[in-house]
Amino acid sequence: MATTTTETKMLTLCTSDKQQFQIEETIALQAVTIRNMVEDECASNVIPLPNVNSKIMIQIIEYLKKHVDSSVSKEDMEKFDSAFVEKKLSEIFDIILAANYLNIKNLLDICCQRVADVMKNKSPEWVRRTFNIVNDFTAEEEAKIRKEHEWAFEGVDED
Amino acid sequence: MLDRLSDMPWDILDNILGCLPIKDAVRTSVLSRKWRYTWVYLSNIVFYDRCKGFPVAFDNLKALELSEVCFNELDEISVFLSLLERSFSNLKSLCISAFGPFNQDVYKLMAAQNQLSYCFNQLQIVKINIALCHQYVGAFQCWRSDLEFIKLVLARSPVLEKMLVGYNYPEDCDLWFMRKLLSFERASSQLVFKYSSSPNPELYTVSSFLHDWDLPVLALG
Repeated sequence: MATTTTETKMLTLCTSDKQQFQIEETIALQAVTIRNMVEDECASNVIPLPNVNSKIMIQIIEYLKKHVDSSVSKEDMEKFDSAFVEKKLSEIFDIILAANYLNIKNLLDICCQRVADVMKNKSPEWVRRTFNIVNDFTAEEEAKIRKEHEWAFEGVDED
Repeated sequence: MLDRLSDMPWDILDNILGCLPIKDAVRTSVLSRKWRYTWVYLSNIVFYDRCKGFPVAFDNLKALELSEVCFNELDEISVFLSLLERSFSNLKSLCISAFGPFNQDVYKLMAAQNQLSYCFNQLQIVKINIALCHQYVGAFQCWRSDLEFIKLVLARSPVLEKMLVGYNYPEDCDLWFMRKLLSFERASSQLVFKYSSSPNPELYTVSSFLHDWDLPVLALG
């Protein structure tokens, strides 16, 4: 690029839908999977990421760009993280799977925390509806399990 | 509509449920057949509130964190010991914050544990933070169920590497307490003790605990 005076090493990532992303190596290397590929020198030109589509990759790059910036204060980073996970659950699950594959621990943790926060203190009926979980227990079986762990069902939020 | 949650790989479900208080994790057992025993295999459980009756063993549990354990209440300590007995086999780290360790019945129960057969064969790190009630601080030698517990852990943890003990003792009791700690039999030959008389003990998590090692070393085992 004409405006940069020092040369920044760039990596090219290729997503499952064959989109290519050129990003700075320092940003990409936060993903342990990419770091390993680069260190093993099996990533000479284009790094294929067959488990991540471009829509999710854009969001992951947004996250990595923020987190590589050491001038951001801890407080601002937390603000960024909590705003970042304010997404639909289906998107969060996509990011979880991608973060798991790319091995970006912090991103995986904040997304898992987000799913947990949705479930927290909610009734099983509410959780089933929210996550489309099909109840395949008979009424008797369900009653038996509830009886077994009675203490865990006390004091949950009203639906 | 897809059920994305149930289809997540195991380590991700483990991560998600590990962010929840045990009560919420246990409640997932009723969601569907697939969820029936999922919570039992969690590798990390955080206890926020009192709960009774653990029907199963936690064989996969590696880290256990217990807050506000009351050593004055026999019921609570019974649950606490039963939980340890069910999770001892693979437990690597144990983090407890407790208070009120003066009760004759709890002391006897704790002392009786020495005859039990289980050992903490994997336990490497223990952190115990105990707040003494102010009116009892003078009577610090009597019926110390917390010391009996420390004695039990020391005698039954052959690979224990680090033990950090935090108390809100007045300073003149430190020496008595250190002597007491050092008099206990230790199953591990590589133990490092750390003692801190913090006036306002708070619960550290296991991960932050690892950063606490700039405290002065009390003794090498």
